[in-house]
This record gives sequence, C-alpha cells and structure tokens, in this order.
Amino acid sequence: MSSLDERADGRATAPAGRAVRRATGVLGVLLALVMVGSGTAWAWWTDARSVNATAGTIDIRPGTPTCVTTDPDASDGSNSPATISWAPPVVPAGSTVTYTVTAVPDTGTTRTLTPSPSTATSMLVYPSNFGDSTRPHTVTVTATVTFPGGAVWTSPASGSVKAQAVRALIFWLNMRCPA
Amino acid sequence: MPSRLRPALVACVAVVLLLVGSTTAYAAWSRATTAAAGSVAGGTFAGTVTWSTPLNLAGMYPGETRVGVVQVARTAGTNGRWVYTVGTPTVAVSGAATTASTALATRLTVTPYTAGTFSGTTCGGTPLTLGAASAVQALGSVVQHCVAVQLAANAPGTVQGGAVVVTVPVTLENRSTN
Repeated sequence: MSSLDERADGRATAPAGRAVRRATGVLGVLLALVMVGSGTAWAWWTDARSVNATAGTIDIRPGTPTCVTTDPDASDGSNSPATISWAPPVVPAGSTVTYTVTAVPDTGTTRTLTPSPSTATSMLVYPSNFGDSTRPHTVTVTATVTFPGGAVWTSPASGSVKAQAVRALIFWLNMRCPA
Repeated sequence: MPSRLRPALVACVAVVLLLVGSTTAYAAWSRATTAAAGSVAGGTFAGTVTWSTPLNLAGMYPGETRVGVVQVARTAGTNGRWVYTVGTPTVAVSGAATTASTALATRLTVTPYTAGTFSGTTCGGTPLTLGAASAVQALGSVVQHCVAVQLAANAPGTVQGGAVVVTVPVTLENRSTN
C-alpha cells in the first residue's frame, strides 16, 4: 500500500475511534447513575439512634462551718475561744481527708488557722489565731482528699461563717460569732 | 469508510433488523389483558434503642467505673434483613463549656460490651467491636449490651464541677434480601 493510501486510511479511522470513545463515556455515565441511585435507595433504609447519660464529678466540699462561742459571758480573766465545726464530705471508702481552715478579715491579713491541715472536723479558734485582731473574720474550710487510686483533689472553699475577737475587760479578748 | 469496519457495521445492522423483526412477529401473536390491581405498601423496620439499666454517672470520683445496659429491640418490620451497628461512643461538654467540663471530657472512657450482664461494676462478655454490623435480627428480638464508663484514676482536681454528656450511637439498618 502506498504512503498516500496509508495516510487516507488513518484519517478515515479517526472518526471511528472518536465514536468508540464517546460510546464508552456514555456507558460510564449510565453505570455511575445506576450506582448512585442504588446507594441512595440503600440510605433510605437506615436509622441513626443513640442513648445518652450526663456525667459529673463528686462534690468534696466540706459542709458550711458553724461557730459556737465557748463562754459567752467569760469573765474568768482569760481569752475565750469559739468552736468552728463542719460536716465532712461524702467520699469513697479508702479515701483520706484533711481540712484547712482559712480566716479572712474585712481588712488585714488572711490567715490559715492552725492546726492545718488536720483530719478533725472541728477546731477551737482563739483570738491569737486572728493575731489578736478584733476585726470580723470570714471563716471557710477546704478539704483535700486522697482517693483510693492515688489521685489528690482539693475542694473549693466551703460556705462561710463569721467569727470575731471582742475585747471584754481591759486585757482580755473573747471570741464571738456575729451573724 | 475503512474496509476493516465494514464487517462490524454489517453485523450491527443485521442485529437491529433481527430485533425489530422479532418484536413485530411477537406482536402478531400476543393478546392484551389486565389483571386486578393489588395494594403496594412500603416495608418498615421499626426498632428501639433504650437504657434497660440506666447509666448513672453523677458524682464520679477518680478510678471509679459505672455501668448501664443499652437495649436494642426490633419491634416491627416486614421484609429485609434487620441488623444494627454500635458506633464509637462520644463524650461532649454539656451546656456552656468550662475548663472543668473540657478537662472531664478527656478523662472518661466508655466501653460497650458484647454481653448485657454485669456484676458490680464489671460488665460481662468482651469489649464490643465497634462499627461492625450485628447478626440479622428476627422480628421481636431484643439484644442487650453492657456499657462501662470509667473516670481515669489520675484525673486531676481541675475536673471538679465539670459536666459532660456520654452518647452511645446505634444505627439500625434494613438490608436488601438480594
């Protein structure tokens, strides 16, 4: 076959090749449509559900402390204390709890009352615990809990109670629990 | 037209003529009639997903595990292959995001189990393969799965006061019988 015939033959086969490619493309589109349709039909037969539960943590704050004057009418020539006490938090068995008592005056120095920390749920507060200050103090308690697994948490401060040293005689101070 | 395409073209024309001719011949030997219409209704696959033993997660402390039981029931349905899939549980902040809630969300581990039983705070069976479809469930079937939630033993005190929501997703499916 001459080269002219070969070139003519090549040009004639180009349209046929394009037709084949087009047909292949159409078939591909049809197949894709069928698959998408099947997938959509499948999705109509599923339903998503769930169950929920709200989680929160244990509250280890001590109860709001109370203040009780030991000797309201003290005149025995000594400084009389007040008893500050509080309810312990409910903690799991095997936990250890210690308490820190803090007194904040309306003006002046914040004090950590001793003995702190302590495992006791009450303490005697003397005027000397307030540095003999006669300012009213706001007293709160925090708990430090060591859980059975070893984690150690310190609670937020408890509710508060007021305590104040009041001068009785010239030299003596007695603790009072103002409202 | 290239010579080598001519046989293919002839074959195509022959097939088309054959099909047309067959259809015409068929029509000469057919008779049309109608059948009584019947009702057609879509199938259903009703099911429920609930807590059969509620999961109480209030007041958790470090290292503690709590358990509940989720129940999947096929309550109705007609045709199809009814299955369910338990997805990966999630823990998300409840309400406004706080430092404590954000921290708490990362300290809880949620594990669904194959069995619906538990002893104390220990679920029976083994941890469930999440995302895998169950066996086909018969109409009226009820399946239970124990779910254990643990607060990490080393959870720091900064999680105090946090609130989160634990969610166990379950997908119900009615698969084709084909």
